Parts: sequence; C-alpha cells; structure tokens
Amino acid sequence: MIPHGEQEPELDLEFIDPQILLADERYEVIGNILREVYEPGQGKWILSDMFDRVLLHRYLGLPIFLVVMWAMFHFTFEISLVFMEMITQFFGWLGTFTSQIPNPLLASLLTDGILGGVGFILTFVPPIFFLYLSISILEDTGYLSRAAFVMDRFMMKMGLHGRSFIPLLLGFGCSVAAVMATRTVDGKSNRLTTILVSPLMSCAGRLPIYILIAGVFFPTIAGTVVFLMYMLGIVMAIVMAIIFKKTILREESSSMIMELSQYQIPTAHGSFRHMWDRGIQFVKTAGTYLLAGSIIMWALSSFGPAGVSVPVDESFADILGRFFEPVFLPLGFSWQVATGLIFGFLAKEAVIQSLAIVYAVGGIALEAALISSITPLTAVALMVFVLLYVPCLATVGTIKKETGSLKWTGFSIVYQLVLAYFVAILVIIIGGAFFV
Amino acid sequence: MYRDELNLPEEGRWPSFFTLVIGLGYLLVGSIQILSSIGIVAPIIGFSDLISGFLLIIVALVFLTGVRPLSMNNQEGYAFISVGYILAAVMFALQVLVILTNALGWFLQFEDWISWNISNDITPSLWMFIILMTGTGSLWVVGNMREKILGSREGGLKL
Repeated sequence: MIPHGEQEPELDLEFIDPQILLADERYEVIGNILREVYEPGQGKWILSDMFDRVLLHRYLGLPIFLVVMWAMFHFTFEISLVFMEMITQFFGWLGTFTSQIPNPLLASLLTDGILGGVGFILTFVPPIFFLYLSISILEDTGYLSRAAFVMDRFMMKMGLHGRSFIPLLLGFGCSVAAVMATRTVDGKSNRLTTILVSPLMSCAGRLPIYILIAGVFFPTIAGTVVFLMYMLGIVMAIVMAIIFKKTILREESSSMIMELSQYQIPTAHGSFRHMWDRGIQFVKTAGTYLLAGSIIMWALSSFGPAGVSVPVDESFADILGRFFEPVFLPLGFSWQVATGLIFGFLAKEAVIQSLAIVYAVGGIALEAALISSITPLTAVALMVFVLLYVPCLATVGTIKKETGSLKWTGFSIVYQLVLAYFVAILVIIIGGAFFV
Repeated sequence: MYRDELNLPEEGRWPSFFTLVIGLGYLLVGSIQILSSIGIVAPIIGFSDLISGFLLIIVALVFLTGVRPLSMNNQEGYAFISVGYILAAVMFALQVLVILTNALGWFLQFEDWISWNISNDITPSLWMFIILMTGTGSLWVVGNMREKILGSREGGLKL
C-alpha cells in the first residue's frame, strides 16, 4: 500500500518486456469479464494442475524431461530392431534375384546400387516412424509444450530466449521444420541465434547412422548411445547459443509467456496419423533424392578413369574420397567415410547409404567393413561429426530463405564444419587418453 | 484442494509410508544398477545399463519428494505419487515391448536373436513396477476390507 500523499513510483516501461505488459492487460480484461459472469468458489485443482505441480517442478522438471527423452529413444531404437531385420531380410531375398541378372552391369546397379543403397536406407523406416510416433504422442498429450517450459527456466538463466526451445524440439524431427519454426521467436538476434543452432539438434536423417554405428560397435548399450547423441545435440545447441549471445548476437532475452493447455489422452488415430504424415516424407525422400543419389554413388564406385566395372579402389569414388582423406586423417576416417560425408551434404541419410554402396561394390558387407576399418573411438567421433557438421541442402536452402542473407547462410555452414571437426578431434584426444 | 472427483484419501499417513518404502526401493535398486554397470559391484544379470540406473533414481526422487507433503496430510503429495507411477509404468511398458519384439526375433530365428535369452531382459524397471503394483493392489484390498469391517461395526453399533 502507498500512503496518502505519496506518489506511486512510475514503472520504468523501457525495461519491461512488452509481451509481459500485453499478457497483463489481456489477463486483466479476462479477469474483469470473469468477475461479472462467474461466481468464484473454493480454488480446486484438476488432474492437469496436479501433474504440472510435478512435471514443471523447479528441481524435478528437468530430470523427468530426461526420463521422457530416454524413453522416446529407447522405444525408437530397441523396438524397431526386429522390424529392421525383417526389411533387411526382404531386400536380401530380392537381391538373390537381381544378382542373377545376366548383364553384370545391370545386376550390379540393381543389387549394389539400388538395393544396397535405397534398400539399405529403407531398413531405417521403422525407427523413423517410431520416432515420429513418440513425438506425436508427446505433442498430443501436451507434454511437449511443458518440456519447452521446463527448459525455458534453464535457458533463461544462461541469457537465452526461452521460446527458442520449441523450434529446437521440432529439430528432432527435421531441421527444415525447426528453422521455419523460428518465426515464432521474438527479436532479430534471438531468431538468428535459434536458426544457427537448430541444425545441431539430431534430425531423423541422422538416426540411421547412429543406429548402425551404435549397433555395430556398442550392441549392448546401443539405445543409450543413441540417446546420448541426441542429448549431445541439445547441449551443443545450448553452448553455441550462449557463445553467439555473448559475442556476435547480443540482445536482451525476453520472458516466455506460454498458455499451457490441459493434458490430453492422445488418440491412436491422431498419433498414428501424425506419424504417417511425417514419416512418409522419409519414404518419399528415399524414393526420389536418395534413389538418384544411390545411382550416382553406384556410378562413381563402378566407373573410373580406366573404364567400366573397375575395382572400387580405382573408381571415381576412390579419387573423390582420397582427395578429402588427408583432411579427415586426424579423425581416423577412411576415404570411404570421407566420400559418405561429402554425399551427406545432400541429405544426412546419404552418409550411410553411400558407405553401403561403396562397400557393396567392393564386395564387403557394411558392418564387417566398419569393424575392420575404424575403431570404436573413431566410430564415436564419426557419430559426433555427423551430428554437428553442415546441415543438409534442404536446411541450407531454408536458412537462406529465413535469414535472407548469404552471409549468415555461409556462416552457418562454416561454423558447423569447424565445430564438428573440433569436437570430433576432442573426442579422439580425450577418448584416446582415457579409454584406449 | 483437489476436485472431489479425483477421489483422493484425506488421511496421508499410510500412503506417505508406502511412498517412502517404494521411493527407497527404487533408490536402492537404481544405485545397485549404477554400481554394477560401472563394475564396482559384481555384474548382475539385467543390471548392465548405467543410464537406466540413473533413471530409476529419478523415479525414486519423484516418489520421495511426495513423502513430506503426504505425511502432513497435504494432498499435493499425491501429484508426486501419480507422476512416479506414470514414469515407472512407462519404463515397465517399454521393457515389456522390448521383450515382445526380441521374442519375435527369436521366434523367427533371425541371426542376432538366436542366442537371445529372456533373463537378460528382466531388468529392475520391469520387476520393480510389478512389486509397486502388487504393493498398491494389496494396500487397496486391505483398505477396502478395513473400511467394510469398520463400516459393519459402526452399522452394528447403530442397530
């Protein structure tokens, strides 16, 4: 209360977030209407409030979020393994027919190029569909908005924009969607920061390489390894956002005002529909871009300066891979991996697809080839590199569209390449010192 | 505080004791899993995943946070029990799904599943939830019987 005769101190509106003022005004209007039409009774909570008491808890909110994330990736990875094997067996069975085609070049194209490439990448349809199903369920229950709220408190403490976490969460599905969702972020520098760090979140396209490498090198804890890669993506996004906010993109963070809907029990129809709508995009990509990519990769692996059907180590793919191999030598990546990473710029799925084709044309199974050519430590460095290096072509296009700047688009490519290389080198150095 | 239709008991002494026991149980098992997975105690079948050990401890913390409000008859404690149950149920359901899909692989005789053994998939998150539900069910039955007996006695006195 202000005593009579004293003036009420004027609020310094310059330092108050306009969002908060607007929300205050809005809730005042709502309150006035309610006072006229509603007879207030004793404040009672509903089930939704009850859950929020715990899920948005100051200390338990974040650990619970981690449990939910772990459950999501455990479900995605462990449950899909047997279905992936079914698809592998199916394409293996198809391969027994295509490999018997009398024309050896056509047989190689169909068996090593198309079945070895697109067929191989299609084995990752189950985990990608399961990942989208998990995201849909979390969205439909209303937990995903709570997750943003939980992380907001954490991010605000580090001077970041709370609303930025929603696009980052969408980045689990696709980086293009994440970059486009930054339109909801207030402030030019806040939005730019979010655009720059969104591709660091692990999209569904990176999942195949995690699943393959974790399954080959760490079979007993593969689900946990995949979960840790996703967590590393979040951590790196936060670290880079802090660096950007403290250096090149300084701006005051504003508060996040979010109206949380009540929790809902998701319907099977709704969740499966969302899963299908998003997952089918992956199948379409496999049927178009990845099919074209696998034919190109097969051609590069089968043709060389000496002509047609040359050994793979005399092919154009070998020349391309060996040209970049010295750059990746400190990381322990072979020329085959270097070639895969170059093709990964088109789409992240192409990394593993290219590797499968190069090794298939060379007559070696991918899993066996990986075990014999790289160490478990190099495998971790490879996963980290794929997580952090240049976003795919579609994402780069979206960054250009959303920022309207070639400079920032170029910066996003260069900084991610440098970051990926630096962190992968750190993995090799620290891992080499402690675990080898 | 909560709406009547949530049907929460007014008296929180026994629920708080039960929550304390369950919370400590999850804490103990989670700690053993962590120690076993990093090799400090002897390896135990089903205790190999380090992260799962941490997750069990998080579930334990959710339960244990609810003990204090419940012991003071504050119904807010039921919120922690509910979320603890949900988290435990999610981990249990996931493990059941893992067993079912692994069993499918073993049934179809896929190469990676030929040597699969169900004992490796019987993890603490699976049997702790079974213990939790058995305990909850027993308490519910005992509570119902107690209510019936006390109700019939009161009825008898009235007559």
